[in-house]
Amino acid sequence: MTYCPKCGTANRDGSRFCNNCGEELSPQTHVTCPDCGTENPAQNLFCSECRGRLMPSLAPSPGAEATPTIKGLSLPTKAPGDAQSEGESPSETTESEDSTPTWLRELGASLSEEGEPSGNDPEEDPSEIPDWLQALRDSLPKESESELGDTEQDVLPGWLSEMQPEAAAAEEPEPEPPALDAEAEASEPEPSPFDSQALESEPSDVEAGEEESEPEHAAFEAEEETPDWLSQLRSPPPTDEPEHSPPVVEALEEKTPDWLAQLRSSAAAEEPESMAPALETEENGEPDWLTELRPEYEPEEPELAPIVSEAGEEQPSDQPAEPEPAASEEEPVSVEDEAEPIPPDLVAEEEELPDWLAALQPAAEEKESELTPAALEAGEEEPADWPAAPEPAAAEEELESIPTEPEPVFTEEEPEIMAPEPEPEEEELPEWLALLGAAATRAQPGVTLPGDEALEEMEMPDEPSPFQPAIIETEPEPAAPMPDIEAGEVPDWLAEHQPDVLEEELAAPSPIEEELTAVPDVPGWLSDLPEGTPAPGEPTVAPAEEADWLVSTESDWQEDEILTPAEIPAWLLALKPAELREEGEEEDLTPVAEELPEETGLLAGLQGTLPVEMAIAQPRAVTMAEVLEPAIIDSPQARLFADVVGRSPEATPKEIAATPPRGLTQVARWIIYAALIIAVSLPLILGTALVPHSLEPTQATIDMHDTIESLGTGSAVLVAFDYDPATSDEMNPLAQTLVGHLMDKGASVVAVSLLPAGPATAQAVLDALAAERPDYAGSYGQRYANLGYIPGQASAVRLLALSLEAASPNDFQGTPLVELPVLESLTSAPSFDLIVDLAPTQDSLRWWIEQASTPYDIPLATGSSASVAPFALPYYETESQQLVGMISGVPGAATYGALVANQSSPPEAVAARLDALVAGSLVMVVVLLIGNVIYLSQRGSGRER
Amino acid sequence: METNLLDLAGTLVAVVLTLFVFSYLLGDNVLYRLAEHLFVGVAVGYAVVVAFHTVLAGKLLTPLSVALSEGDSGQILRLAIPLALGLLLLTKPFKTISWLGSLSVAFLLGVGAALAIGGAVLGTLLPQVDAAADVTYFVTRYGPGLGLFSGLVALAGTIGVLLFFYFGRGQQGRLAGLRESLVRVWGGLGRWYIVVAFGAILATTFLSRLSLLIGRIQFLLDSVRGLLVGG
Repeated sequence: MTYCPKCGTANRDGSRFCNNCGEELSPQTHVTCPDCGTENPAQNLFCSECRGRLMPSLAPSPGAEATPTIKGLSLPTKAPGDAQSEGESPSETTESEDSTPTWLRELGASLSEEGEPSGNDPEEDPSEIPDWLQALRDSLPKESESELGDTEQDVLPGWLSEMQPEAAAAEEPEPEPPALDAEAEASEPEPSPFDSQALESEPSDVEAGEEESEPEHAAFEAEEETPDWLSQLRSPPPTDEPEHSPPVVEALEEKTPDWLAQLRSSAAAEEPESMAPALETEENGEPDWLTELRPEYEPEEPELAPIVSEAGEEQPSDQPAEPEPAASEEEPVSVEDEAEPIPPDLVAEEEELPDWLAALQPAAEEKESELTPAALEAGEEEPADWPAAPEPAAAEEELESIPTEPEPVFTEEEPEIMAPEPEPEEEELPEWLALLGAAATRAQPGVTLPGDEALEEMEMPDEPSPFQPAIIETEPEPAAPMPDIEAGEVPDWLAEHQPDVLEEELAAPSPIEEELTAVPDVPGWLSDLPEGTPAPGEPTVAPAEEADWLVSTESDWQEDEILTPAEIPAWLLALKPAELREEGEEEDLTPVAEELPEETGLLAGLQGTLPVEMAIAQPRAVTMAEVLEPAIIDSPQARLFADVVGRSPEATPKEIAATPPRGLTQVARWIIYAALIIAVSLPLILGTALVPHSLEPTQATIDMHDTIESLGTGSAVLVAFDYDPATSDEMNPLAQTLVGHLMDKGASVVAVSLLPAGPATAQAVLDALAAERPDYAGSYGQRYANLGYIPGQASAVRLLALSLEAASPNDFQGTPLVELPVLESLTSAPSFDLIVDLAPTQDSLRWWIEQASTPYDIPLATGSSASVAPFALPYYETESQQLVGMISGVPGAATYGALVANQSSPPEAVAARLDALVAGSLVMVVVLLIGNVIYLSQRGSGRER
Repeated sequence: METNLLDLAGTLVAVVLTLFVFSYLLGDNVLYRLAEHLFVGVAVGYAVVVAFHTVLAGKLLTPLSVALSEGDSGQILRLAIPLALGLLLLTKPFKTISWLGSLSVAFLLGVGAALAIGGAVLGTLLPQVDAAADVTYFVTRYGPGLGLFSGLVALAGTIGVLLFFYFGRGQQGRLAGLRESLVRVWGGLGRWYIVVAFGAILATTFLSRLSLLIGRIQFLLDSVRGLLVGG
């Protein structure tokens, strides 16, 4: 992930320009640590030398990084202006703190004058307020605002601080964002239970949203469930900046107790443009033991104030109304500043902060030196939570449309989100609350916070996690478990002051505190929570980890029974899964579960729409891709490729050899044709043998002759006329010679054909030969027959071998075979004494050999075309003599005729054809010789060229 | 007399069409095309008519009608099967129901493949392997000298051709070099066997086609001679 140096938007690795603002993203292979100057790999989040935060150096505007742009869909997205306002530099944030405490001090003064603000609220139900909060409220008039603020910041759970950046992102005022940020940070309010709940809901929602792929829910949910006082707290005066009030605050406002509202209103009257109400509410929620501790730190205020301001930056989660908490939390520079000595200018600036606010933190840092890195990391990690916060632009739009009732969408969907979680036991804290608490702990100061990836990959603990004290106290029906936590897990600076309060609280335990103490099970994640902080290089932390200070505080509260359970706000109950709800709860939650249509984006006007995937907005762990440097061309192939690619195309076309003139070629061709025709025609025209022929029959011809000679009178021969008129000029001499010889021997001849045109050719040959022989003349059906065309090729041959009638029930002329006397004793191919195949192609010969002769051991002879001779000869040369004899072509016919005639020379007609064949062969030999000579001469000349 | 005129007309048509085909020697022309189309059309038409009369009418329709008239249920059933398979083949041109014809096609291909493979193995492969390996047969048939030589030539040629078509990558092992040399030398010898065989096939094919030319010229000469003598 590469962060834009301008707006801080997380861009995909390898991106050259920012997806948000178009700023060029310069690849970085190393990151220099701002603390120690060590060169670290770009993938590092923290310095390998000093554990300092590195990423901010890549993202100069951490505020923007804290609230990355949500990509995709049309759901609320961050406005560029807001993004820029969020992305303030650390120095700006620090400066902004100077102006903040003004309203805070004024508020504190007004509070002290007014007395107990909460007690003035007639509508407030004391039973709903925890004791510690009540005590805090009671102590407000007695203490200065500075003390309150100081104590609040220290006591306020860090998980609440997650809301702060979100609120800042939402409220981020365009005109004066730094001032608002500073105000919010400086006036870090006390953690009131409702405040905690409201703020707590957001991280938990974020977590749930991440796990359930409905992250956007979290943002909206937080907006809707935020108590009114929080929303008012954060929102600046409507006249000045109405669009800056975040939706979270709007939601929180609805659940704010009245006493808080009054407190807020009074502060708002005094400082309308400030965030004074936040202080009010926080003061009310401050635990008693903390309030009592404040005077101890008052003398130290001048010295500790700067650090407190930094702590406020790190722990701003209490303050949802903070205009720009993200900057303070995510600002790497601020984090670094916390680790480093306080700059002088900061000291001066932070003196304006409330005294009580600056009181605790310095002491804590001094006494809890090992906690400081954790706090730093917490501050660094907190940005991871901020992406879940609603975008400012969206928040503004939401504020305009958010009704008084909380958004019902989340109440309906939250049960689904929490459904997978195991149901807690009755006495244990509900798991869905534990989920929220686990998420909230990420923002706790002094605890390493899980990164954004941790949110996505978070595995919720099986044990129900005790939630924040406020939530536990406000749990109406089930006894909220308050785990016992050893005091050693409490930060020293807190532990030192806490016992005093606890002792006092122990004196008067409330009934609900008894329930809390009766809780037997302490969640394992809480009890086993390791002290200290994870490695600085880890951006993510197991979500179940709880801040030490929080765990210890909670346990102490539980042990000392200082916490008073209060009712869980409706917005928080709405988050409870349906299966975990009791009967009475559902009725109360029904009105909350109203869905409001989408206000913005393409889904505007639709109800029940799923929020945008919040994971998109979650900046992942920064894994800077190493920039590949140009590879050195060190291989011949690479050099060749580069050479070929870089070579300019050849302009000179390749020469093409000139083709000889077509006329000459055509004339030469005609000359060859004419010579061949003349050479062939001349012997035929003359009709006499030009050359003496001494035909020497081959062994195959002799075998053929002997085979036929061996046939006695009455023998039957199946002659396959597998040729048609196209090859009859070559095959007819063979057929006439062979069939004539058979008829001369008195054999019965039965003709078949595997070609449709074969039977006609066969019939012509048979009739002609029969006409020449008195025994056969007019004896069709008696001495010879023609079965006609047998379709099927190879299968036809096999069928003939099985049954003549099945192959051909009728003869060539349609006469049934049973009516042909010649076939009386012939039922199949094996019934014949010999099969003679007149084959112009090798296929038909092979069919007869493979399907009839070899399987049924039928003597087979062939009179084939000359071209078939090379293929037929191997069958003749077999030991089994698959071909008992063969003749091929006109020479074979002439030789066989001479052999039959017992002459040394062929008949005159055949002799003429033999002369023509010899003449034509000579012409072709001459043409071949001439052609080869010319070819070789051209080839030689071609080589010379 | 009418027969002679028909024969004469037929002969004249044959002569003219033969000359049309020979006109292709001068190049592609309309006359050649005319003769070609006539030949194809007549050949196909004749084949269809023969197939219908011989196959459909002679082996299916006529027997089926007879069986129906006679009430021969057995014969009807035997003829119904090929009739159904034949009708299913008619569905092939239609894409939606062409699958119905697959049964007929499968039957045809199955029977054809079984016959071809079985016939090739039993009728060609095994006998040819036996003939090539049995040198004694040649000795017995052609005498000790010529028979042995012929047998060895046939064996060496067969193995050489097989080695020539041996395609493989380089092997490793002690005998790898020997094997490669054997394949290279003996396979090279087989290559020459193939060359000689192809040459023989070319020569015999030329003789076959030259015989056809001679037959056509003989036909023309006889026709002209007959016309002149007859005229």
